[in-house]
Amino acid sequence: MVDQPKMVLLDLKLPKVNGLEVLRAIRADERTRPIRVVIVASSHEDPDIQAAYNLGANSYVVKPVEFGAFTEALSQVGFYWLLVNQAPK
Amino acid sequence: MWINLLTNALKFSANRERAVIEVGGRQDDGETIYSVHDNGVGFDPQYADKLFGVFQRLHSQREFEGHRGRPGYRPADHSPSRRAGLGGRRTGPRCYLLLYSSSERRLAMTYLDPVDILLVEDNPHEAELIIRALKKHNLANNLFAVKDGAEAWISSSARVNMPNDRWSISPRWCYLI
Repeated sequence: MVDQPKMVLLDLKLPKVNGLEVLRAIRADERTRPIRVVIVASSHEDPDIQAAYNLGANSYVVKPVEFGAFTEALSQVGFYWLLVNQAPK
Repeated sequence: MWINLLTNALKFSANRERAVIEVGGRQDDGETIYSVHDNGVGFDPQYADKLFGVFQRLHSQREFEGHRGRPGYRPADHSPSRRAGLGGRRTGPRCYLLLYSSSERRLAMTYLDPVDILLVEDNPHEAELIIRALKKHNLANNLFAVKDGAEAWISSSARVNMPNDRWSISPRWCYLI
């Protein structure tokens, strides 16, 4: 009846609770654990990338600065994770 | 609780010439499900191509006095033709489901529409770009966007509020009222 999201696109720098905490919460609950989480962040910093993967991010995408590149990257992310990738039913 | 829900429905459709609020209920597998559905501001098909406009509309203090703390907003394309292609039901601008667990004697609210993508992005400009990019592959039809981590965290950790809720199969979209 009510579906889970198939994918979460998650920024890291967020007000109130940051993206890594959101990711931690999603991975901590067995019901939400299988959800594909793609980090979409501005940070190139390796510690952020490490932390995201250690917490179980499926992918980490640095937001391209240029408009065309940004749209292209996100379009590819959606295409891959929702159409190409096979997820558990 | 009902007063709260109905008041919300009234407030959200206050700008309509003719506000329509539907209240329904049914039994399903031992659970009682109530629904409240209003035709308030939000997701008119005429705004389908102006996602960002809707995005801003939903956050306008003018239209949503006192509702800035709502759990989320959906800058999704709800035009019937687009949704028909996905086999989705057109549920209108906003549809809540109330789930009542007889064992727990508790109520929760959930969004009825299926969601494919939860977008957590505080920068409205970047949110708009992401939605636009996803539309390239027609993937933005069932997108639910929240603007801060707390909203996402609340929606992904409803278990904190509702332990042992056997009916909460989709904890992200359940909010206690």
